[in-house]
Amino acid sequence: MSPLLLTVIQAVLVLGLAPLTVGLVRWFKARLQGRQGAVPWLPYVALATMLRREMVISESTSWVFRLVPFVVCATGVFLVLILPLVSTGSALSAYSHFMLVAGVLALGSVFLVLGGLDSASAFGGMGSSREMTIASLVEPAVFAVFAAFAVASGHATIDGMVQTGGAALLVTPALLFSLIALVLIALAENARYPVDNPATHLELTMVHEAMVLEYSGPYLAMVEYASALRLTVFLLLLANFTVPTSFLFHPSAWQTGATAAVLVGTFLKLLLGSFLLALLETSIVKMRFYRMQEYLSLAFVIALAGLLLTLFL
Amino acid sequence: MIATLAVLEPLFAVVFLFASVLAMPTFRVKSLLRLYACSSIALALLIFSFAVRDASGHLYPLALGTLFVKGLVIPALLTNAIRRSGASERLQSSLRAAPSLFVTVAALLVTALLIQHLPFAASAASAHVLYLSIAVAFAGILMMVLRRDVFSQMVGFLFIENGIAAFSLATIVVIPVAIEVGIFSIVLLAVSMMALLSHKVQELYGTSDTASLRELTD
Repeated sequence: MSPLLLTVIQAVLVLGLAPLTVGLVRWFKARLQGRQGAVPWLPYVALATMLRREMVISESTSWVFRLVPFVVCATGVFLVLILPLVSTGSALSAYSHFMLVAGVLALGSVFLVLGGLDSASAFGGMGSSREMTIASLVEPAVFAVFAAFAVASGHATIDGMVQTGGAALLVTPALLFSLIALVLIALAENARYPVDNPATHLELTMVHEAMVLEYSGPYLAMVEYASALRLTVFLLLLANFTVPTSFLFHPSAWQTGATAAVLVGTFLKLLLGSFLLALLETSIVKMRFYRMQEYLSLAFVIALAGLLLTLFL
Repeated sequence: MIATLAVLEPLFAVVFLFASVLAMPTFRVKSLLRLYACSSIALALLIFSFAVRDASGHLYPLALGTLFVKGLVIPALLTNAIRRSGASERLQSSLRAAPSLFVTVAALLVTALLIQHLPFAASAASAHVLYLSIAVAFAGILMMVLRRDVFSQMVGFLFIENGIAAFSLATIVVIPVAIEVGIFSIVLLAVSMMALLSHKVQELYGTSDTASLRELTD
């Protein structure tokens, strides 16, 4: 199996499943809260509807506002192409250096912030300010987490870090700290509880929703799709750090039996990941914004502990 | 199945440490006791995997005793005592969550540097467990120093005890069963006494904050 084909398979699979992941999280959450819940594939319908709708764009916006959805969407697609989500050793895996990944993640956040600011609405500015505060606190933790994985695996690319999969936890158990910190970071990066509430438009709480408030039609569809991609990427990445690599494609080891295992495995990872996320969001409350620094410094210190233990043990 | 448990040994060791580190930014009584139970269960599994690896039958009763006494009885006893005393579920600390965790991580680093100069480090049965035991005891001491309320100080003491138990596992490995039984009964007795004492403190002062015990009253 050629690495290029693996990249194509991964892209098709993850790009296709991203809206379903969001739908699954919402469905699980509704069920856990005793509601009926919409069908998990509703986001596909919602995206299709948004794509057909007319756009209403404020006259005070500049070209930045129109550029933002493309950049945000492109960063999501780029991450899907380079990261080891469904296969390791794919064609673009050499680009998955953790500095680059952190940079691309930040690029998406920064452009979303610019989009929020450009419309000059009060909500947009508020959301942007909050997002930048969170992003600047998340960044050191991201580096500390991936540095620990890099030290443990001897690879600077995330592809190399994932190549041993969950077995790395047995060889270097201190990575458990880094993994927990990564979960905390993933919640912040994806604007989920306890950092942000993805289901509300209350001005006091929203961060991500405040920035995209001015978008409509196809642009909104792109931004929403990008956030779905980001969630799927993080869920799969976290799963790949914890389970053995037999659920991942690899160019050198290719069997027909393995194909089914990988496909079913990927679906199960998303299913389990979205269930756990929904469970977490049902059982905890959103944090006050001014307590955010505490939450994110906890994430950073736990990541630092993981890095120190990996270095010294 | 049992062989798998022995493979998971490093993971148990880290969970043992992780629970005590995570206890530092935990300010709810129930979560704190849950973390203590988690740490004790990890210690029991660690002893169990040592027993499987070395094929030493003496360690099995110790693992079971740790699981039962420290993993179940003591957390249950303390939960009950706290509920009866009617104290606040919110614990008091001199430091906020993030700084106290930072201090703990700094202590982990200091322990890692110290361990390289210990005279008996080379002869220890397991260097990892030796490090973890000292780190957990250190975290327990920090918890006793940084926390202001009686219950956290009790749990801090129990974490120190867990660290010492792991220390003996790393250095001596097998201890006569009679001594182990003695240690378990002392820990149980100490916990019941401390629970009683904290109940009295709560009754007399209406608070579990130790700061109020420092002042002389009529």
